[in-house]
Amino acid sequence: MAQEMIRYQELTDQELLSEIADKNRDALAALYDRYGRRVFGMSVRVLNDAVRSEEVTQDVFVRVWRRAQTYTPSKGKFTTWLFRIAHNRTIDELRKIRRDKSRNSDDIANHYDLESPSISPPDAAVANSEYEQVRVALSVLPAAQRQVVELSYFKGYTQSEIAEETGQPLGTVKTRMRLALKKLRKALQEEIYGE
Amino acid sequence: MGRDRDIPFVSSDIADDLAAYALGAVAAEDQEAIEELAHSDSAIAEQLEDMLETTALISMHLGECEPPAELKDKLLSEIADEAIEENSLRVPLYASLINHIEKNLTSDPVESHSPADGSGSTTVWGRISGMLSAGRIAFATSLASFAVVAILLAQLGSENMHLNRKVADLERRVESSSSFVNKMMDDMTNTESMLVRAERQIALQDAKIEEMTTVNDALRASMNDQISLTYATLRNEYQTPDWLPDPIIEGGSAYVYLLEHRLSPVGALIVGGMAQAPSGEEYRLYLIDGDQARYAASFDMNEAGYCTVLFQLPAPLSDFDGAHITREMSDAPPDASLADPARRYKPQ
Repeated sequence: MAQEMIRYQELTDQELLSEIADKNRDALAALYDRYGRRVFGMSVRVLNDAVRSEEVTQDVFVRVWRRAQTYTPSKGKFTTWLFRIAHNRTIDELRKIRRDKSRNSDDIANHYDLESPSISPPDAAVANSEYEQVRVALSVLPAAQRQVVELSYFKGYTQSEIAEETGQPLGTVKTRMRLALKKLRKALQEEIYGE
Repeated sequence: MGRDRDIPFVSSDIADDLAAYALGAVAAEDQEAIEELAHSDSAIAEQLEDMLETTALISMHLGECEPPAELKDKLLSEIADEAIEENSLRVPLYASLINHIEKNLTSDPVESHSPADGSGSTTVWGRISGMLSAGRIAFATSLASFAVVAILLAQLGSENMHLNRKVADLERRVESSSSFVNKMMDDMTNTESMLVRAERQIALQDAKIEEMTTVNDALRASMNDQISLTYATLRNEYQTPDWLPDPIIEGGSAYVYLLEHRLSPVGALIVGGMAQAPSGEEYRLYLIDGDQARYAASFDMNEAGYCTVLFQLPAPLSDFDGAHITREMSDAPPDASLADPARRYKPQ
């Protein structure tokens, strides 16, 4: 019984995910080829640790493999789902690092430049160039709002930890997060899509 | 992600919680409550999705980085291992189910479900045994059969799906192997073509060698013609004594002519077809007078294997009755004793 050769790189995200739900390894490989660099890049940016980021990236795609059948397109975009998994896994790793207290907190804070020896300078330069768009968007936020985004998204602090760190009431912290996200959405659209 | 998209109204308090969730700032133990909230209300779900899209947009634009090349292999290897483990779990589950059904069909239901453990549980099998004891054997048997068939069908359906996936996967691998074999066949065909091309090249080289040999022969013939021409030219002014053969040495490809100027004591030696003397050596001409040999001239061949030498004759050639050529060290003085006939140059 001859089967048509599937060109996985030409399938949509949704079609790939459907194949992955059927436990098709080639489809997962194609999805990895499509998003592996971005997931790894995000994780390296936040963790500033290429070795841990490898583990995170591998875990993210294993989770996609296991949970592919749980994704419902009607509930949102695939990329939102994928990067939600990726960011959550990265934050978990970040919190684990902080619990271990084996790293200097300055290392965690330094997410603006990729200095890992595992990342080649040209790769780092390209990544930093793309990240510049996010930096510009972040710079639009008032300092207090930018602070809560950086502490939560980039450093993995919970809302309670941020309230404690900044000395602000928990409600204020959460409101700043909401306002920050609203402004950030607009700023990112302008920076990335030129809308 | 449209800028003007209308997001349904959600109270500020809830929206604050959603923002914290989207930024990953909600503690693990509180995340489930927010997820349930989103599941229960489409407006909240939509608001949350909107915020998650924003954080995903950040995540996607933090910069691409090439992961280590081996990471992909590790990932695929890990999920392959999971598939193997999953299969190894399936077989015992199926076997235990069959075993369980067989046991219940062949044993006395009342006895097998007697409350020995004190649980007094009312399982399906307990109910069936109750029916059996009440004399409703036919109905209980039908019910039991139905239950068994339903379970088996469900299990077989699941197994069938799994096997279908395995078959599809195997087919993909066969397809991939076929491509590989086809590529190998192509490579072999290419190799055969390369061999044919190489054979053609060798044949061409052979033809060129043959052509070069022909050219070489022609050049050699031309050189001999040149020697003959020189000889003929010199014969106007030079003569060959009667006692000398003409030429004095002839054999193989070598020719040596010895002439004497008609008016002055000058000899001319024309040589062709001899090999160049090894480094540090040279050819020498001796003229023989009875049992005496007298040195006359030294010479060597040029690269074309040709040489013309004019030299002062020690005496008119008519005073001599023979000549021979030796090969000697260049820095050694001519030694008449070397003019032994056994040392004469012998054309190859």
